[in-house]
Amino acid sequence: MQKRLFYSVVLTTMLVSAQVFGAQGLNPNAKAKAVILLYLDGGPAQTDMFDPKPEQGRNYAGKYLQDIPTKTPGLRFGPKLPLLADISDKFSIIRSMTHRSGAHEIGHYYMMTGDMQAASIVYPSYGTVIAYMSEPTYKNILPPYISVTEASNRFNEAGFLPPIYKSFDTGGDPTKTPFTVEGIVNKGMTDQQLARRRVLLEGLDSLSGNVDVSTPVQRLNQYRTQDYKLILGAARTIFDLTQDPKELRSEYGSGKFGQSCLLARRLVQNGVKMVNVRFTGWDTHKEHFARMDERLGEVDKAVSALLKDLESKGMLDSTIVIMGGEFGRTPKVWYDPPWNGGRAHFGDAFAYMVAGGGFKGGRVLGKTDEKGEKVIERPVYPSDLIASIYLLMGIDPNGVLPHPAYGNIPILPSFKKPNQSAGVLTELF
Amino acid sequence: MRKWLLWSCLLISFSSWANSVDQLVDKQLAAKGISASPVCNDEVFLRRTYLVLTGRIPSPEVAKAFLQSKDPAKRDVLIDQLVGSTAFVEQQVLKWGDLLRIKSEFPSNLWPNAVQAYNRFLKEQFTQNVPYDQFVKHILLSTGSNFRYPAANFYRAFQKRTPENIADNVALLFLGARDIPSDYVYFFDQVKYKKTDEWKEEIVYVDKDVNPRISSVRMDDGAILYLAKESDNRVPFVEWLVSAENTQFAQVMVNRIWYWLMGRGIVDAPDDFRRSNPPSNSELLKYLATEFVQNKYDIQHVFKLILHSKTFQRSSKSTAKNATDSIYFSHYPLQRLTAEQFVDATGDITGIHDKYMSRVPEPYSYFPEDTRATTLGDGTVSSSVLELFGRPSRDNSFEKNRINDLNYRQVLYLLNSSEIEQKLQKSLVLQGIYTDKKDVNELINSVYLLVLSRYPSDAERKYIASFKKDYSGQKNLAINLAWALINSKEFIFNH
Repeated sequence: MQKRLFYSVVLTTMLVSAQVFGAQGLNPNAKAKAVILLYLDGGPAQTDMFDPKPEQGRNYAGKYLQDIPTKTPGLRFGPKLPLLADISDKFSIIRSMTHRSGAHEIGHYYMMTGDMQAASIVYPSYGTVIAYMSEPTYKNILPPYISVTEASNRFNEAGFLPPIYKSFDTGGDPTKTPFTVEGIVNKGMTDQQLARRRVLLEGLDSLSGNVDVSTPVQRLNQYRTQDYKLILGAARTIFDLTQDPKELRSEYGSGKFGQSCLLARRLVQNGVKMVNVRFTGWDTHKEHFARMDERLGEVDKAVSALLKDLESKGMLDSTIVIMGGEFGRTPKVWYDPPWNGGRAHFGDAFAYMVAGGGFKGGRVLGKTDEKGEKVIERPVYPSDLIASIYLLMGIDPNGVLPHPAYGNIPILPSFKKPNQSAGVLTELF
Repeated sequence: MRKWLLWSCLLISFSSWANSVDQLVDKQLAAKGISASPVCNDEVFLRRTYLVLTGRIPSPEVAKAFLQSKDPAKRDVLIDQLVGSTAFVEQQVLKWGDLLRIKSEFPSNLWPNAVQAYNRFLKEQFTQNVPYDQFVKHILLSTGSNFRYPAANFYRAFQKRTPENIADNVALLFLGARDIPSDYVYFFDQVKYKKTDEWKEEIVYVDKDVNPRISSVRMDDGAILYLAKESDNRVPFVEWLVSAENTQFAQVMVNRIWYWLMGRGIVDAPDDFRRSNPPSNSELLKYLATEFVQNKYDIQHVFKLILHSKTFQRSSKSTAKNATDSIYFSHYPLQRLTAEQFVDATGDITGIHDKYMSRVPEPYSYFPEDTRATTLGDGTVSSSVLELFGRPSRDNSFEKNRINDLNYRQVLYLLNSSEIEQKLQKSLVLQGIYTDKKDVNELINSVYLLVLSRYPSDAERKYIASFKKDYSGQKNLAINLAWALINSKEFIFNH
């Protein structure tokens, strides 16, 4: 009797929680199936990339005094992005991103969650929301949301959702062969060694005396079985970049960012919903232009290769590619010591690149003033960008998420709020 | 026979301490027709007590000495040794750091200097075992510079500093309240902030020119509190909060301690004291709260009261007669090692601790080489593995912000992480064992002591020795055995 009661309680709890807390799921008819975020962590300089202001001279443009034409008539880029300029029909540029914060962690939070309310609730990142929402139909063996190689921990990406929806960090270095992936690919371990260890472990794994029917022990056994499928199974080859042709690999660039972009494509190709390629080191207060020379070369090569590769494999129409940071950088160069030619944080006006998955190419949205210091046309707030991603992914931007203490709350609280939103990016659909 | 004698000695020594806790638990178990599991063995007791009090696994030396000791009162001695120890204080600072949301950046935005000062303040408080009512009073009546009067940071750790958010947080932390009476906000109307000339310094002050919006507030328990012009109106609230008549204040804290030690609150979630969420044993809760008040809010007294009980020392192995019980404390629940416990334990086992870095202020600063995750003190400083194992975000003050469920990614990490592998391969501690112990049995003993703080059984030793042909060389055997033990249920769970 007691046992029956117990089961019925468990069952009811499960049913109730599935109804109350279960995700609504992604709309299967949605145009986009996955998102690749190319996150330029630290804040990239928009005026050196997608919103050049060469006519302002050295005080603003620094050494990048010559901008370049693109395939799109009238659209010009900074001089270090020739490959992207050649394929500017494949993506669009937002020149009017704004959230007005110049603090890294606030910028990260705004750009990753869209929440600018500054209330007491910390929201999940859109990657986490996508992972959460996709769960009911997600059948893949890999986690739905993966960070290459490591998510930023400047804020808690899970927000109020369970931490299992946070991104899975690959760790390791994708330029190395083999590329070690924490938990999945362990360098130098043969299948035979792995199998032998498993036997050793299973023979001495005590603590089995519990009579409980739903103990954590049972869960552990179940996870272990599941995990060994991942460790010993075909999933490993997804992380094996040598499976792609050598020429293609080198098109992406041999650096960490290039190879990470290639990995992102491989992951999406294998059903992963959200990949965050986090490229750090964009916080260029000092030695700005030397660092930009290097970095922009990597970006130009990798991102143009990624877009072309996605297109040639027929994946671009169903894969959103986003590039940008937590904010931009001051349009004016800081020449005085200790900066000696650097750019500082700037959240008033900066640029984002969007492509694929329903975003049209060859367009420019928004405008900044002649110095690039103010948005003068069509501001785009983080919540607008994220609402657009949600729409394309088949998630209702006016929907709700379950908060453990407060019940259902808006998925994007700043969306449609004055000064925190100016509407979905329909101009780019 | 000798064993039996030993047990009865132990029982006698327990009874002098904690018979009331056990009486109240046993009484309820009897009424429910549930039988309790027996008391756990010394090995389990040692590891459990170390983990809950210090967040650490016992060192091989400690384990060896404890297991060999014939002192019938050795459990009581250990408890009294650990409660109040440095590691105990560190563990308390961690718990309160979680609750007070100590983070240098988002969303508390306290800033590193203030985080350090705040942690030092907590350390002092718990080292001196300051009575809980005074501790809370100190925090809630604080004013001054975030660097010089660290407790004042309590009022800064909000993304949005409003009387509503402050009141909400105070009610949750100290009364376990969720839907708070909106009247609480009036007591915090005067809390204001101002900058100084020093970088990132901020003064919390009470602006007595702000007149109360209301002249009196009737509290839940019927008490009427008066607000006055030109005075600090937090005072009447705080005096009421910490008064002995406000029994919920003491109940929330003893329930927290119970939760920290027992893995489940008498009220659970431990900070949800709504009427809709009654305690599983109200007599027990009342008893502990009364003890707390009568002993002048001595936190360590409550710890000891629980630790010396049989209830705390029960085996985690359930019996046919208590398997379905998870709320009346008939057996000890399995709890996955917390993020910090796990990371620090692998550090202690291998002698290689993870490295930590703070990104603020720039340029980045690095923590000393062998910093333990437990003592980071700053929710903003983290690592992939800490995040993976559910370190609390410190975004809010709910106890369940620390999510200690097991998930498949954690198991994956344990099974096949190159981070763990590297630590095992490079460990000088293990090297010491495999170069020193030529005898296989001795080697196995040493690795067991190192990882599980106990000796292996004969069967275990025999089983492992049978792998000798697979693992040629002492090094190979030691590393693979250490890997297997780190993956064992006995290691993963505090049990």
